[in-house]
Parts: sequence; C-alpha cells; structure tokens
Amino acid sequence: MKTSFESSDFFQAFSEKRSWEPGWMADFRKDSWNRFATLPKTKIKDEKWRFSPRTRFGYNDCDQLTDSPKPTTLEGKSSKNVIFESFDQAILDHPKLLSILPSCTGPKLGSDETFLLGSSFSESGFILKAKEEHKEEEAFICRHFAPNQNRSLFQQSIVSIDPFAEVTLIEYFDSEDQSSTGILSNLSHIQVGEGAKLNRIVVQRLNNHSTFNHLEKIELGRNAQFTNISLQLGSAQTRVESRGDIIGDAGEFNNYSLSLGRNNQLFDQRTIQHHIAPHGKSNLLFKNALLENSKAIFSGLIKVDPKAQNTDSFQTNRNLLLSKEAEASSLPGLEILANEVKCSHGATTSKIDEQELFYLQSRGIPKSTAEKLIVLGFFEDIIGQTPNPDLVESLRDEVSKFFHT
Amino acid sequence: MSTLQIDNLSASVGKEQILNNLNFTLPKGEVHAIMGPNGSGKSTLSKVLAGHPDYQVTGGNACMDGTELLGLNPDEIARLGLFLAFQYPVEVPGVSIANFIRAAVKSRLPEGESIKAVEFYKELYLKMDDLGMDRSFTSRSMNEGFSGGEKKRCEILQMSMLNPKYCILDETDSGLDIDALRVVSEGINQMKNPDRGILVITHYQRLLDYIVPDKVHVMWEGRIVRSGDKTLALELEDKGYDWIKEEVAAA
Repeated sequence: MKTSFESSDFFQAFSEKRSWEPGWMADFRKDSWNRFATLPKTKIKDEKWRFSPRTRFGYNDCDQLTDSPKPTTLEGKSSKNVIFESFDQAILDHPKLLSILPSCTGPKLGSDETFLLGSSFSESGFILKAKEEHKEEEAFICRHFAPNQNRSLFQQSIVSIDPFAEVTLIEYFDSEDQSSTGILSNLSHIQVGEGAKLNRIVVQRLNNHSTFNHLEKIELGRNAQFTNISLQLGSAQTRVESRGDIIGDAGEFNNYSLSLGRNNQLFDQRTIQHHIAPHGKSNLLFKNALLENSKAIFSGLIKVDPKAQNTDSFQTNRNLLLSKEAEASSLPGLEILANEVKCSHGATTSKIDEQELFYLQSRGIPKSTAEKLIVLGFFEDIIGQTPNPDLVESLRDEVSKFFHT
Repeated sequence: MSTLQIDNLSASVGKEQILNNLNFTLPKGEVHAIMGPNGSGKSTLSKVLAGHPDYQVTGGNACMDGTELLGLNPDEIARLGLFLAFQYPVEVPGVSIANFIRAAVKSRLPEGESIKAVEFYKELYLKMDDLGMDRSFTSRSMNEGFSGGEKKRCEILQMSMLNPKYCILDETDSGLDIDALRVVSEGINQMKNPDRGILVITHYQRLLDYIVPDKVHVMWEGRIVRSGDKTLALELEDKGYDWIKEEVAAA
C-alpha cells in the first residue's frame, strides 16, 4: 500500500510550507525525497529485519505530518563556547553546521525508508556543538514530543563535540498526550572529536500507542569517548538502530540500554560497533526485561577492520522473561578482520528465578513488588553506569514509575 | 491461641511424600529445636509453613495464633508474622540490602504510609553493629558474593528488622565457623521474648550450646518421633540417630 509520503504533490506541499528555508536545505530535502521515492521495494526476506514483525513499523496508518509539530524544547543555553539551538533556528543561524547533512549516511541497519523520510521531512530536533576544550558541568536537556492524531513527526539532531570538550546531554522522548497514536522518527548524527567526551542519556516514555524510530550514527575521533545510556520504557513499538564508528586511534564507545516491556510492546534493536582505527574500545550491554506479551529483538555486530589492531570489544545482550508469553530473540555477531584483538559477545535469555521470587515473598514483599525489585536489580548495572551520580536515583525512579502503570 | 500449631500435616514434592501426619506445637515465649538425619523432612517442613509453591500440602492444618497458614501466599504468611531464615539464602543481584529490607518493612505498613528514612537507617545500623556487620554492607547486593557467615548474619538482620511472631531457623549453623556461630546465636538469643516463638532446625547439637531450647524434637520419615528436653539433644550427639530409627521401626 502506498503512503501519501510517496506522492510528489505531498512533498511539494511540504516544501511550500518550508519555503522560508534556504535553497541548499530545500535541495537536500528534494534529493532525499527523490532517493526515497526510488527506493527498491521492501524485500520479503531481509536479514536486517529478522524476527521483526515489520508491518508494525509501517507508516500506512500515520502518513500525514502534524500541522503544528511541537518543537523540541531545550534546557541549557548557548554561549560563546556552545551552540545549542532548535533545528529550525539552526537552519537560519548556523547553516555551516547543517551542511554536513548531505554526507550523513545514518546507521544503515535496515531503516533506509525512515532515514530518507527523516532527511526529507524533518521539522524538529536540535543542534549541539561544543567548541574546543570547553567543559560544561551542567547537562544539556532536550525534550522531544511524539505527535498525536495518527500523524508522523520526523526530526534530526546534530551533536558535534570539538576536540577535548566535555558535555553531558539528556534527551527525553514523550508523547504529546497519553491516548492517541503517532510515529516519532528521530535521526541523530553524533561526532565526538579528538580527546573529547560525550555522555548521553536517553529516556523514552512514549505512550503505549505510539511508534518510535531511533536511528543514530556516532563517529569517534582519536581518544574520543562516548557513553550512551538508554532507558526504553514507553511506546507500542520501538526500533533502535545504532552505529558507532571508531575512526580515530583509541576511541572508546560505550553503549548501554535497558528496555522494560509490558502489554504488547516490541523493542527491536539493531547495533553495530565498527572498529576502523586501532587501539579502540567498545562495550555494549543491552538488557531487556519483558512482562506480559512483550517482545524484544537484539541483533548486534562487532566489526573489526583489518587496520583496527589491538581492539577491545565486548557485546552482551541479556533478556529476563517475566511471563510465559514474553519473547526475546537474540542475534549477536562478530566480523573480525584484524588478528590482534580481544573481542567477545554473549547473549542469554532467562526466566525470572522462582527461588529468588520466593525469597523476597517470604519477607512479606507481594509478588508484583518482588518482580519489580528483581527487574530493577537486573537493570542496576545499566543505571549504575550513569556518569553523573546525581542522576542515578532519578533514572531508577523513571523505571520504577513505568512498572505498573 | 498463642501458638504455632501443626496438626497431621502431610506434604509432598512431585510424587514423593515427605511429611506424614506431622504434629507439633510451638508456644510463644519458647525455643524449640527440631533435629533429625538428612532427608527426614526438616527443611520441607519449614518451606511448607512458609508457603513455598513447589510443595503440595496433602492434608492437615498449620495455624499461627489461630489463623490457618496453609493455602496462603508466601508474602501473606510472612506479613502475618512468620519468618523463615533460609539454609541457603538466595542471591538477589542488583538489589541492595537496604532496599530489600525497606521493601519488606514497607509491605507491613498500611497503604499510603511510608517509611521514615532516618529512623529506618538508625535501627538498621544499630542492628548491623550488634551483628558485627560493616555498615557499608547496606549498599551491597543481597547475598551476592557473601561468605557463608555473612549470608547467615544477613538473615538474622532481616529477622530482627521485621519483628516476627514466630521464627524458623533452617540450619542456620551450617557453613559457620565458631566465631560466626557465636555472633549469629547471640543475635537469635536477643530475639527471644515472651511474645515470640522460635524454632531451630539443626543437624548438630553444637548450635544448642548457644541457643538453649525448651524442647527438642526428633524428626524421622516426615514426622516427629520423639520429644524431650535439651538432654535429648545431648543423647543424640552421643548415640546418633540409629537407635531412634530402630525404635520407630519396632513400633
């Protein structure tokens, strides 16, 4: 079935709405849309969508854009060393920063359609640039909002941390209201320069009718460090595609994620840790706790190029099932072309331990509270990675709040 | 009414019958010991009373201060006032001792009422000091990587924080060196009071040097086959269990 996004009239109308944009942006959108319109048809058997009920991510039911998208709100100010602005504002103020967009490729882990739609129709997002050697103590906070009324919202963000700068970024993804359906598709382009450090926390709390597409590509320079902690709590279905490219010597990429699945929720996670330069480190830990009929898919690849000698790379996926109906699929992978490396991957799926449950209950703790404690305990080594100790308790609360809502 | 009273209790796990018409009464204010060889059903008794879902009760009653325990969920039984100190305390990764005990204390409060944090920690620290536990333990994951002695101290700590009416200590002496045994026994002795009944399950008389029981019962083939005062424990230590098995067989 065709969506209205495929119609040239639809794109034309959108372009007119954005007629205030400079020509280079209009060209970029047009080019992206042309590529979208000529995408080959969806393959029936696509390894990048293995185990995924792909139709759940389709745009058919939400193929209109919002009339007035609620823009990303930003907490934290621009200064002489930092640019922190909404996507729309940055188009006008910092065209040079956005000029990288045509060369951005995205994670390329299956969602080409969403990537090109995002490039064509993005109306929201933000730009964060920290200049060389700038160290910001306070976290920059972004609040993104999924649309309602069966609409889609596309957004793009660019995070660029110049050499030796240090920044913490917190991104919240929420729904505009609790009942209606919508699709939020987010593209993040992240570059961390030489010796720079970026800590990023993602808290996704969409309502349980909404779809979340989260596509990101991270590029790490020499001695750069990037630590990501994602809390995937809400949405009906979430597709995460995350690519970390270590392109400078001794870059370090830490990717931690937890998902709490309830009802009929689906978390579809595709990752790649790509070591291009030598002496790099990467560590990935994705944990999913699945209640009721929820489902998680994890497919991760560690790729080590021939030049990336002395790489240390780890990838772990752990799933905890709290009901007979919950389901987890895991596809860990290694592709190592260098000979001096330390790499390992592992995946486990286990049911909640009945003896553990009995032990907690035997202390008077009701079963539902006991399950919650066990799940919070299961997530503790993700939340415990939070670099800012003040945030740890609030992240625990975030998970806790979602448990029996 | 102020008793833990078990009448004709029978229970099985899978197809195996383990408890056979067991009768036993523990009044408040008393300490009783159940001894018996391996496989006589001692641990099964403690788990059945605590409501473990793996065991099927096939007959009888177990009343605590007049309330039937059989058929209740483990958490309901615990909140009514029964505490089981485990022979093998379970590791709960990522759940700190403080959070674990807080959740247990909170489950006993009326809905809407919350724990007063300052008082909670004051009491917790005081009790940890008594048990010779380092205060930094509160942030460690429950039983994870603990030594045998640390696990058992932690059981006693929970018991004293939860203020139960009846305590069952399942082989609390196993895995303890002599110093830990003394500390743990002191902790148990401090729990003795006229409003609380304590049942100590053990293989060895050794523990009973520290915790002096009012009565000693011998269990064999899923029931109590002999009861006596503390001298019975000494007799068992001296002569083993075979003579009792023979007496039961002859009867």
